[in-house]
Amino acid sequence: MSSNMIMLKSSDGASFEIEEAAARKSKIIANMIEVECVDEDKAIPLQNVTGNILALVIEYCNKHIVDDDDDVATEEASEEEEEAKKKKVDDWEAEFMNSMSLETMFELLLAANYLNIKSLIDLVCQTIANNIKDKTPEEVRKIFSIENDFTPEEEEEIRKENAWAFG
Amino acid sequence: MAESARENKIASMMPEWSQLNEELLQLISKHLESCFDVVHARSVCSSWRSSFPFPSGLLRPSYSLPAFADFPQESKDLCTFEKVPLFLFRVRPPPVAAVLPSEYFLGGISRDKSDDHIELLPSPLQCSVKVKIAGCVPQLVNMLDCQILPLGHQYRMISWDPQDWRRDYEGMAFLPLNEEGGGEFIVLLNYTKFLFVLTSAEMRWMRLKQISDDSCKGVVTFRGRFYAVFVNGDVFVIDPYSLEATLVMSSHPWASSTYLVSSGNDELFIVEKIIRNEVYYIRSDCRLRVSRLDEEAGKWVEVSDLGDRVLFVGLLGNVSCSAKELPDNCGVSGNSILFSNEPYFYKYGPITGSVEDDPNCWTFSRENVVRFLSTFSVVALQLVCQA
Repeated sequence: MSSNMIMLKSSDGASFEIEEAAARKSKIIANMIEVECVDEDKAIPLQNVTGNILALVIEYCNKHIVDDDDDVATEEASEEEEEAKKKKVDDWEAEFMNSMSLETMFELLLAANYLNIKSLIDLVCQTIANNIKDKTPEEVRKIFSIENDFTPEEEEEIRKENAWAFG
Repeated sequence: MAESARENKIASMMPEWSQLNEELLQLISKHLESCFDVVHARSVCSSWRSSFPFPSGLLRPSYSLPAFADFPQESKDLCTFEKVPLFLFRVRPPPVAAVLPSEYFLGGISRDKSDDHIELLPSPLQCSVKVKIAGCVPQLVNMLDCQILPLGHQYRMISWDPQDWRRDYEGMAFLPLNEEGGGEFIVLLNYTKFLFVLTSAEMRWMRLKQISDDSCKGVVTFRGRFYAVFVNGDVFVIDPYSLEATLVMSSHPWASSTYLVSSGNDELFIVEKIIRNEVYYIRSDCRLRVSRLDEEAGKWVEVSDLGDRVLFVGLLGNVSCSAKELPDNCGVSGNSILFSNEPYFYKYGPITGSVEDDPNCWTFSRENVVRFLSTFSVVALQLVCQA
């Protein structure tokens, strides 16, 4: 098993050691490794990610790299095993997202976007979408602390647009 | 967990959700399953309004085509077709009364342009749909109180003079040509029992070469081709480019009434109603035969299982929906068929009462009684538990 370790440094100066395989979940870091701008002794500086958010990103990458390894090891796994494994990952992701506030989610989304980790972007977007669905616009404003910046005329226009009828 | 410590460190930062970049907002919108959730998100603030794209499934594009009432004379008049989004709304019962009767509304929707939109909702910005049932006061239904299932689209003739020729108009089907874009299309029209075609390139109605001695009963599209069913039960597939018609083979003689129902582009079903002449007045002896299209073999294959699907026949056209997300006790379950103005769903199983020959077939299931409150412009159903 390859356990090439690399170092990441957050914007506020915290250093994190991470397996190269896990770090490669980020397309940005994977690219840096490809073009060899990674000095073995030096940490990769990530100017846009704070330490607490980077810790979450690393937690996510570590979890998912283990799962990817499992996939390779048990190629002939039965359908039930596959399903059980998928459920385990889903449960972990649900718990992972459940434990964070919307503020953290916001930062995590920006970080995942900056680091280009597709599956993490999807996971965060889905969780945000879950906070929007089945809510009135007023409720969504409250949840996300968004100010209503429509003029009364615009608001009236929207009200009309949101009125539907059968026929 | 360690997260709470991490939370504290950044609790002071208030994120600007309205300033999230457009690309990420669009990604979030893709994770909203219901198009009305997207409409609600667009009503939150101006930046979200410009970033969340308006759901294409709610658009109602219209097409102006030459009128055809005087065919073969070419007419200067125009007629308008609209692509109408169809939905099934299930009104969620209040939590205390989580039992039947359940109410359902099925139909095409559009923006309510009338002035009598009743102001009743606690949140003026949330989506509502007005239901007008003949003889009743119009009712405003809050969409957040409904489970909403999209049923695809239907093409409808909008501007017509019903006195004049509506009785001869039996529906139309529409196919886009050259999928890469360009907006070219072909329309197949069932009018005065004959089939007519029009392409966007020519904008002229042509009579299709006669396929059958019988008149056509309905036209649908499936996987980029037209299907036309005739009174004798024959179904022909018509290629939109060559206009060549091919008979879809059937292994048995057709019943008196046949209906084509497509389930998106997944399956095309044919539903036949078989009423035994000598005992036609006994309801339990009204049966269906259901077959699916085997496209490769070009023939019909009889089925006893529709999966999660519910087929609605004769309710503003024939549509199919998935009952997968409907709760167990709501009165509508998968693998069933409902005909307009019939009080029970058809299910596959033994015939209750007199068991004679074939004990298993598609027949009435008496678990629930269906009450039709309206079948015009909107289909309104009430489901009452019988047992």
